Amino acid sequence: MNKNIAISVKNVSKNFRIPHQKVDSLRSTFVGAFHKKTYEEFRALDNVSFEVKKGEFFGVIGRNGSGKSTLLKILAGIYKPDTGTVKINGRISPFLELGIGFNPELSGRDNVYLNATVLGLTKKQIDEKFDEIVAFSELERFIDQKLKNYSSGMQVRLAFAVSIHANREILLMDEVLAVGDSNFQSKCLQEFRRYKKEEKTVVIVTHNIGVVQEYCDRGVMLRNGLVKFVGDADELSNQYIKQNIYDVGARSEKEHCERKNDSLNDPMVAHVSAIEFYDSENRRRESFGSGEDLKIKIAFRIKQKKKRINIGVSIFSSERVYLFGTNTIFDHFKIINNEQDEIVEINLRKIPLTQGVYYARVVIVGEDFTDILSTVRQSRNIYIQQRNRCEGLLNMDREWKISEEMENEEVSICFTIDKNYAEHCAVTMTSVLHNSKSNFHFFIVSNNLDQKEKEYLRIVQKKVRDCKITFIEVDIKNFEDCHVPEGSRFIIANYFRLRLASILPHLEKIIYMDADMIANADLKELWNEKFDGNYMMACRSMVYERNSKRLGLSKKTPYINSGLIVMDLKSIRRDGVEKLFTEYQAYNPDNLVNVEQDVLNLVLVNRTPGIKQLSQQWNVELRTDIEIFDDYKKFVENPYILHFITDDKPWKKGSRQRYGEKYWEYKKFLQ
Amino acid sequence: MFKTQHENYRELIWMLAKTDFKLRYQGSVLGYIWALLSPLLLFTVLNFVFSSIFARGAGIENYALQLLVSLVMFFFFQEGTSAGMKALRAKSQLVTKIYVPRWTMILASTVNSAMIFLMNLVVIVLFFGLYKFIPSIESVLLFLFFSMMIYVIIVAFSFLAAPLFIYFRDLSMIWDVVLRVMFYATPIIYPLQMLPENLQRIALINPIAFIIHFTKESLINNHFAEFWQYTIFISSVFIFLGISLLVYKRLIPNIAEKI
Repeated sequence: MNKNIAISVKNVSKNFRIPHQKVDSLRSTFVGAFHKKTYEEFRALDNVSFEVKKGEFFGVIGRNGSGKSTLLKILAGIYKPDTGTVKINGRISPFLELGIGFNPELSGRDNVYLNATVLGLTKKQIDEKFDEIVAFSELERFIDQKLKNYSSGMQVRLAFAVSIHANREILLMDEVLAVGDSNFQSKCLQEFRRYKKEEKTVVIVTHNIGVVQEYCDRGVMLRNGLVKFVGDADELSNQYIKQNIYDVGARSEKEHCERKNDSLNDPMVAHVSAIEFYDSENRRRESFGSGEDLKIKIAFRIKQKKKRINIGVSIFSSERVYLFGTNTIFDHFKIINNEQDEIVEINLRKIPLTQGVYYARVVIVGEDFTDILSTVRQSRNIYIQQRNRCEGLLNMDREWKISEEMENEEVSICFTIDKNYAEHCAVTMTSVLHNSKSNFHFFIVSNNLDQKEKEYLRIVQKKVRDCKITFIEVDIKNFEDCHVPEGSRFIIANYFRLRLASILPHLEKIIYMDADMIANADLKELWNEKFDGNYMMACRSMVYERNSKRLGLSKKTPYINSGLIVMDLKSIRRDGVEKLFTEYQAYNPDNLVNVEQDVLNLVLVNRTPGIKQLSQQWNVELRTDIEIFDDYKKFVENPYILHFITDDKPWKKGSRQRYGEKYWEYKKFLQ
Repeated sequence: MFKTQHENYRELIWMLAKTDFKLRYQGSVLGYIWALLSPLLLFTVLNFVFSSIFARGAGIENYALQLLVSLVMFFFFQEGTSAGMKALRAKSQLVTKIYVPRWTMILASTVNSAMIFLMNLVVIVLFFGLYKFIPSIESVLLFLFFSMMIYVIIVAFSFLAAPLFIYFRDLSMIWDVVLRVMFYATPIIYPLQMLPENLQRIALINPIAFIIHFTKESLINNHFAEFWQYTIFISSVFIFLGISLLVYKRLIPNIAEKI
């Protein structure tokens, strides 16, 4: 035999004779001697061939009665094949079950020796390993007590400890995982991993697809004694699932034909005559893939007039754990009572159940849950086949991705306002919160806010949703060098935004917004824009383009609107940008008609690094006094942020501003 | 192909036998005494009842010692064959759930019976001391030889009966009846000489009767059987052993399916 082959099975067949009359005593042998003996031949294995390589985890999978246990017993030498050959290369651990030979009347110690001897260890080997075995089982304190005083869990632990110390090159396991609690199972799994590392050959018999997927390299699928598939574990599990779905489908069809209508014999007011499961294409099935839609159709009849009919459906696991329940009243679905046979269906979308067997229960109640109208009817089993892997009760619909930032990162937004603007600022904040799911931290910078205005702004937290608000008081004296032309609508507070790097020394990044803006999109996207090395990001002004010329800049130079600025406060601080602003103000105060906006443009527009231009949609300037030219129309029609420039503000009487209604829409939240 | 699994069969047999022995006596001296009590009680009753007839009536010397030796030997045979028959069925888990060579389990059962016999020998020695009777060396050697022959018979019977018992569940009940008949057909409570001449010859065909009769004769009366009688006896025992092993070999491969 090839050196790399651990087990070679060639054309193995095994028949069992099942006599019609059991002859297992001398008496019946003599009595039966005069009758013709009849028996049925049952072919447990039919010409089975496969090879298991050394160091392989090999799964034998199949439904009950497929011959898998017979095969394992033949491998273990317990059964002899009728024809064919089995060759084993290496020492085989012949146990199929834990704790063989355990005797309850003996002490744990004696049982360890007995079991280990049966598994093929010599006394010397057991002496050497004894402490290790006991330590593994964690039963040091009880080892000299009789086994009958052990709990079943302790017995299994002891048995498993012995088994794994019977070091063999080839291990045969028959549903070892079916016993024990989850703690023990995880210990088993750990051992499995160790075996894998040690490159031991393991043959495991199971009908649990999860075990095959998790551990096996290859395997064989048996069905009615025939080999249906040999090969790669992934393909094997696919084949097995396919086979199961097919089998269950065939069986349910048969059962359905045998169903009778027994509605008339039921003494209850209502009668549930059938519960059937359908898939999204309206085919009746009992086996569903996890994550598929499951439609439950319920045939029922109400035999009396009743005011209210409530049909309840609940889903249970095979261990009778109540997983889900609903009824027509919870879901506001009206049942009209026609006193005739009716069918109602409920569609459960993307059922998140893990692989296993489930069932549904249906009951009809009246006015309340104590007014039971029908007997509880239990459905047949629903079989869920799972292709992906997970643990626990539910197979949740899920998706992984690499996230650029932590989702809960705060978006910092700054307003610099005068006390008169507090109520409009609240509307802006409302619009920001309303259009996003992110967490926001608002910094309100002002020199003259009273408690009254602050409280008004805090209403946003209560009426809209949770957010952080920080009020920052600035001293107007620090801005004495800032120039505002006489008679202009601008005020000193306009300059605050140029010094945010100093006003908010702990922040690295901020979105500055004017308080006459309304957000129409998620500002998180704006927050995630990249600076590409610039100090700021902003939009050009479409309606004040002429200003470039006034400032003596070339015609092609864009004029930036300072109503919305995303600032990289870190680099502004690093390069002392604020100082450039003050220097410029001092140098040429008379030129600054549009105050801070002019400063910003003069200092940064032609500089690199300077200002990165954002999509125009982030600052859509709205004014009514001039016509909107065609290029700009497309932005107006699809704005991210609305900016009500000029004196025609939507809150003023007789305002004709476009999108003015948006302002009032958000204002409503605050009332 | 499966020979490599248990390289140390001796240890396996010893472990299985020891375990059964331990279970029988609960691992304590008190348990041992308790286990001896039932044969001793039987001995006391039989001795009380029959010594008046045989010892005083028929003038048999040392009737009590003869009875004790015969009883212990017969018990050895009875227990050994009964346990040997059940050796496989009683440990069905070792047959169906694991590959353990079946013969180890059968041998373990016979070893266990031998151990019990050895324990009972202590009682015999005690009684001989009590009665201040010293048998001849030849007769002691013959006794040991006969004991070994009983052991061989037990082994032969076990190899035959253990697999058969898997096929026929009522075998043990039948064997119980056979043993009861044998108890009375064997010169245990009565001397062989009490039977008519021709019946004596028929009775001696039973190997157990042969063993017990000549053990008694040699121990108490220093009287031995003829050479040809030994020859026939020994050869028939080994023929029986050969037949048993053949049947065993025939039945054992499929035994796991039948259990």
